[in-house]
Amino acid sequence: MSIAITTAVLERNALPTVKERSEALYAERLHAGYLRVDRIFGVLMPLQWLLAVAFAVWISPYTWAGTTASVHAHVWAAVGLGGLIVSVPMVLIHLRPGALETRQCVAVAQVMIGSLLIHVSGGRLETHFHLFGSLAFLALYRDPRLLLTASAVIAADHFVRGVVWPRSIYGIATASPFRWIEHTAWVGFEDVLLIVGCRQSLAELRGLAARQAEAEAARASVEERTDELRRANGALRDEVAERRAAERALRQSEAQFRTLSEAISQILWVTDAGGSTEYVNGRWYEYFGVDPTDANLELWRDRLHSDDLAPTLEAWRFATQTGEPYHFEYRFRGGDGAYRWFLARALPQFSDSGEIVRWIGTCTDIEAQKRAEEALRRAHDELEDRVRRRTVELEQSNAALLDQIAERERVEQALRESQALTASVLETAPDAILAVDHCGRIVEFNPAAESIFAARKGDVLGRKMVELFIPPDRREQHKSGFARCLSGEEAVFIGRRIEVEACRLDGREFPVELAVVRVSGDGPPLFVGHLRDITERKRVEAALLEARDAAEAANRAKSEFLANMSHEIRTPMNGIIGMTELALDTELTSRQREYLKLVRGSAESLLSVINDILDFSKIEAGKFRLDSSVFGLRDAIGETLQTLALRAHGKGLELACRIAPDVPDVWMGDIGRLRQVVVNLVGNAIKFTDRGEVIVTIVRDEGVSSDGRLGLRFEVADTGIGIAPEKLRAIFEPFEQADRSTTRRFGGTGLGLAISSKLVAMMGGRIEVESRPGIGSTFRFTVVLEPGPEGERPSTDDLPRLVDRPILVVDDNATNLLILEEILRSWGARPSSVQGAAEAIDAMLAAAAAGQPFAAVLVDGMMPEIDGTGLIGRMRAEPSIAGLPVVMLTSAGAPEDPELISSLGILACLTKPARQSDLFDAIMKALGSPAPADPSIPVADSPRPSKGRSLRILLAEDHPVNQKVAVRMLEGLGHSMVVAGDGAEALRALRADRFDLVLMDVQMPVMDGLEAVRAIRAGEAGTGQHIPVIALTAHAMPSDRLRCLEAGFDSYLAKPVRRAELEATLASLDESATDRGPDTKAIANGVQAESNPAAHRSRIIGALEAACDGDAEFARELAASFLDSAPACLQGIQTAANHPDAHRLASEAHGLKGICRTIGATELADACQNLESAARDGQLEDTGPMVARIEDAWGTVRSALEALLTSEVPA
Amino acid sequence: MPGITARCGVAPGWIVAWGVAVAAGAMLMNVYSMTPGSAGSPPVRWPGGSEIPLDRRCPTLLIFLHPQCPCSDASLDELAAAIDRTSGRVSAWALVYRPRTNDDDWFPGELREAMAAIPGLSIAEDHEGAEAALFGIETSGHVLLFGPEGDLWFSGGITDGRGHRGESLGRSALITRILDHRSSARPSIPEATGPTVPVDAPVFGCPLTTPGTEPGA
Repeated sequence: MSIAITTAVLERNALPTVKERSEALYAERLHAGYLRVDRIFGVLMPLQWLLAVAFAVWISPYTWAGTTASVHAHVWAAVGLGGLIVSVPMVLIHLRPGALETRQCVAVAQVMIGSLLIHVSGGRLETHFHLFGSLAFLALYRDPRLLLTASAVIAADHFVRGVVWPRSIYGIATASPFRWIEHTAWVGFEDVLLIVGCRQSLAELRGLAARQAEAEAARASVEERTDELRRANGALRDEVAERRAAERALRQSEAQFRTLSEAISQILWVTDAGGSTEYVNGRWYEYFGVDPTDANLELWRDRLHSDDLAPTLEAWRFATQTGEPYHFEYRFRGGDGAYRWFLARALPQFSDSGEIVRWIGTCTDIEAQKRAEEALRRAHDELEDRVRRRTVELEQSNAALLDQIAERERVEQALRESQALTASVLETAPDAILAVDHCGRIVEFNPAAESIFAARKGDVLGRKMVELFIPPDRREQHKSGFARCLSGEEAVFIGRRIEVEACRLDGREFPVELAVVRVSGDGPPLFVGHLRDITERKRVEAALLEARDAAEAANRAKSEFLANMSHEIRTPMNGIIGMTELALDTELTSRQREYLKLVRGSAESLLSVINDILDFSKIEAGKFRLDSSVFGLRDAIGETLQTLALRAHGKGLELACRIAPDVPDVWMGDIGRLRQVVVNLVGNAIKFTDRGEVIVTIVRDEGVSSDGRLGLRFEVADTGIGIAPEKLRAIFEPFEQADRSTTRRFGGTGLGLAISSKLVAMMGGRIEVESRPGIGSTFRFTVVLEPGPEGERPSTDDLPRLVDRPILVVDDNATNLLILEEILRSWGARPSSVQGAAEAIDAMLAAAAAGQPFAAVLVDGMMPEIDGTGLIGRMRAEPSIAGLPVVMLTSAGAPEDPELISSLGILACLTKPARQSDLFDAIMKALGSPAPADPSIPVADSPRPSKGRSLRILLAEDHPVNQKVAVRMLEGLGHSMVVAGDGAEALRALRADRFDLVLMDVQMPVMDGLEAVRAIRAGEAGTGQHIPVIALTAHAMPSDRLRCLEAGFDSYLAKPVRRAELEATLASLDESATDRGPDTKAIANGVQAESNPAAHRSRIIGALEAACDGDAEFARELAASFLDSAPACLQGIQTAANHPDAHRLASEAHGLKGICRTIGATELADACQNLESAARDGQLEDTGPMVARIEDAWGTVRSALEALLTSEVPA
Repeated sequence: MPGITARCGVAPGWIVAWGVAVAAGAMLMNVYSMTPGSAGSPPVRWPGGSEIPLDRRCPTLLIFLHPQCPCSDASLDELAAAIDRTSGRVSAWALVYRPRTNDDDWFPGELREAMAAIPGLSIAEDHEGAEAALFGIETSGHVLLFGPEGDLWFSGGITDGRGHRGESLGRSALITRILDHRSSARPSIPEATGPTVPVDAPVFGCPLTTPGTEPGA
């Protein structure tokens, strides 16, 4: 515990309190008691052991068996067990004195040794008191725990023995099992007493410890006070000693002071704090001339100069108030009556509390000093006056100098900044900057120049630039130019950027862009050059040119590929379609005809695919042009739909077309492309519709464009499979279909909608789709077209015959009924409609009975239950209606029985959807001819003779099939044919015979068509003859057409050649020849065509339109553009010719030639070609006539083009 | 205790072992002290041939003692207490074993004086244990009490352990027998109406004869 308390005290790092000291003393004494009692038991234990042995030996040394004795067991027990009992306590007392475990073992051993003694003493009652004594001894420890331990051992002994050997302890065998408690209780009684004693003892011990702690604390306090007093006494003694020493020193000091004061030459005085004089030395008396023994020490006040009294007192008051040293000069009147100056100095002496106790001062005679000062002051004043004057002069001079310096510094600063800026520019400029003086020596060379020329500035400064950086072959030129520049002449490189060749120090040449400025100053001029290395730029330019050439080559290759592909495909297609058509003109069985029609349909489909690809290619290339012509909308759409009706009806679909009555019928536009869009949309609708109907609706679109054109809205609705919403946008992308599976199921290129979309856009409209999967789709598109002339509208002369005429329409399809009713109503008729045969009979009978029979009946051939023929049969059986004229609407491809039709008296059979004109004709026929007439049943197209005269035609074609096709077609048109296998044969045939026309394939072996026609035209040159030559080519691109026309062809037919197209082309040429009668005559008379300017202009315009693919508007635009740009080219040619510059002349002629070729102005182009060739050959002396020819040709072309532009209707 | 382990090498286990060993030693000592000697084969009737006369007026008490046996002191002390309790209403004989050796120190004077101090106690030396043999006694401290008719009333020791003084079952039974005879002339013992059954008590003392020799030989 003491250790713990001590530790706690140490941890607090402070002196222990009384309580802590008390606890420490208590623990210390308690521990000391433990040690002391341990030592007691350290003696008692072996003594008791010995006592037990002694008891045993004395009481029962031996045990006997008769006369035989042996050592008694008690002796062994006393020795062995006693030794065992005392052994561990003895060891612990020796090794762990004061420890609790030691005490506990002592307690146990003490009880056990008592038990041993009782045993060896034979259970004597007296020895039982040993136990009580043992408890008392253990109580010496003042540790109640030991008593409890000992008592516990006693209780355990009694308990065990009471159980095992009750007689040995209680004397009877029937003792109570709790009797051991009684015995233990007595022990406990003693324990209580002893514990009480222990606690009292501990309390007393604690009290003693507390008292001792208090005593120690008191003693420590007394000792501390004693130490303080001792130290105070020591300090007092030291102080007394110091004071005595100080007194001695003071006396010595005073003596020294008086000696010193008398020894000095100054007056010494001492006053108290108030200024009363206490002491003066002998000098004072001497000066004032008074007797020291009878002197008034305040005499000095009377002797003070009256002028000095007030300031002296003021100075004195200041010193006494502040404690500062007193320092003043004043005058005293001496004993001789004269005043003298004195310097008074005094220092205060302070008490320990900081108060002034006295003043000690001296008065030094400074009369001589004063006089000297006065003299010095006067000299100083004079000098000061001179200095002031001089200072004023210097200040004026300095001000002027400062102004000059400031100005100079400002100029220098500006100069430095300028130099720094210049240096910075030079250092950071990306371009090389070098300056040369009038001698051509380099005087400036910036870092960029070092980098570009691979030279260090230090190496080149001062050296001539021409020798370093000008390539050797240009140095002379540079020197001469430099000399001219120095002489004041204008140099080409001053003030402009030029590209020249430079060379680095190692001789490597490279291109630079150079700009030189001349810097003229007071001295010789400087030339500052800015150079930029353009090696990389040149390389990029070269690469760009190369890339451009490559792209142009690739483009040419692509176009050529397309042309070749078109040719290669169209060539056999020409044979397929042509031969099929020829075969269809022959007598065939119905099956053969059907097969051949399928062949033709397939070929047409294939051709359609090719056309799609070509169209798309042209659209993508931006070379697609729309043809404009007048067309009748209803007939055109009707014909178009009829071509699709076969497919629709083949699938059992109803195909109907409704054109709103307010839609004009005559339009100006590209009907072919419009038809293409309709075919695509309706074809798709049929393709993707398995049942139901496909309805085409055309209405006017709202709004009129600024140029008077009108909008048309087309709608194609079907009841097909529909399109998923997420695919609606994609279907207009090329090569896309709504579902990949549909491609496999329905076929198609996926280009149709893309092309349609483009075509519609080109026609000023847009296409959109609305669809619901499983319900159907509706495609809508608009186009903007120019309305056609009113005169083109269908004749309405017959309309009065229709007005208010009742007509019955019988059709199971409601849409068809509505369409037919609308059409009839638009014609003024009164249509009535029914959807079945029975209703129709009833309606007709009712009308007849009412006396207002129907004027005609339109009957659908395909109806459920009772079809058209059935209905007509019933009509014919009813007398009142048997005579009604009937027009039957049939499905395409439906078998028709001519005899049945004839017998039923059907006036006409129209394929649905019937063209309105056909319908009108049929109805009019019915109204005009109540009697049944023979229906027209077209079985086969009979050969049609040519509308014009019979021609003798030379055909140049290498392909045998195409030869046969063309021969059959032309012969079928009534022309005679001669066939040549290639261009050379054709030329020979032309020389050997006379022909009206030449049909010439462009691509042929030996000599192709282009070469042959050039030869033909060459042969005609100067003869005035011109044989029409028509190109036959599979190259379908407009560029091919232009190429053909440029080569000399008069017209152009794309393969596969259709009979209709061929016939139309021949007819147009024939008409043209007829129209050009005068020309023809002129030609025939050998008059040059050029002699007739009008004819020439016509040729030019024709060539231009041919070059524009018949697009008159485009031709006008091209003509305007040519008229704008050509004069500049002519001006350039004239300038280059006047200042002979062969290169420029050739370049200008080449440029004009190109655009002339483009517009088809071949004469002008040829003239340019001649001039270009001459210029390139350097034959500039003969260019005058050539230029004149160009100007003449230009005049003709200009007048022709201007005529074209001024004409209202395109020529 | 860990401090002890560290400083002196005495582990707590050793202290426990020490305690156990001390307890075991004390147990062994008790076992030894409480182990009685041979009960012999005393006759139920006073045997003939004994040199000790049977008192016909009062019970006759015989105590056989080995003079060197340390337990004899305790037996005599208890005998003295019993005679004192019975106020001398018994004819008491102390038969002190004497072997053939003629050793004067065999029968210590202190013992003799102690016997003599017991009132009414007659001392007789039992040479070579003849009387003990006659009465079938083998252990020192064995007490026999015969009634006036020669019936054996009590047989056994009057201490409860070797050399153990104090209250004991044998002494109490002996005193009761004697006092019962004094008060009613018949012992108040169980089954008093029938033949008297001697009371037995364990005898704690040294063997009267050397093992392997015949008593009285």
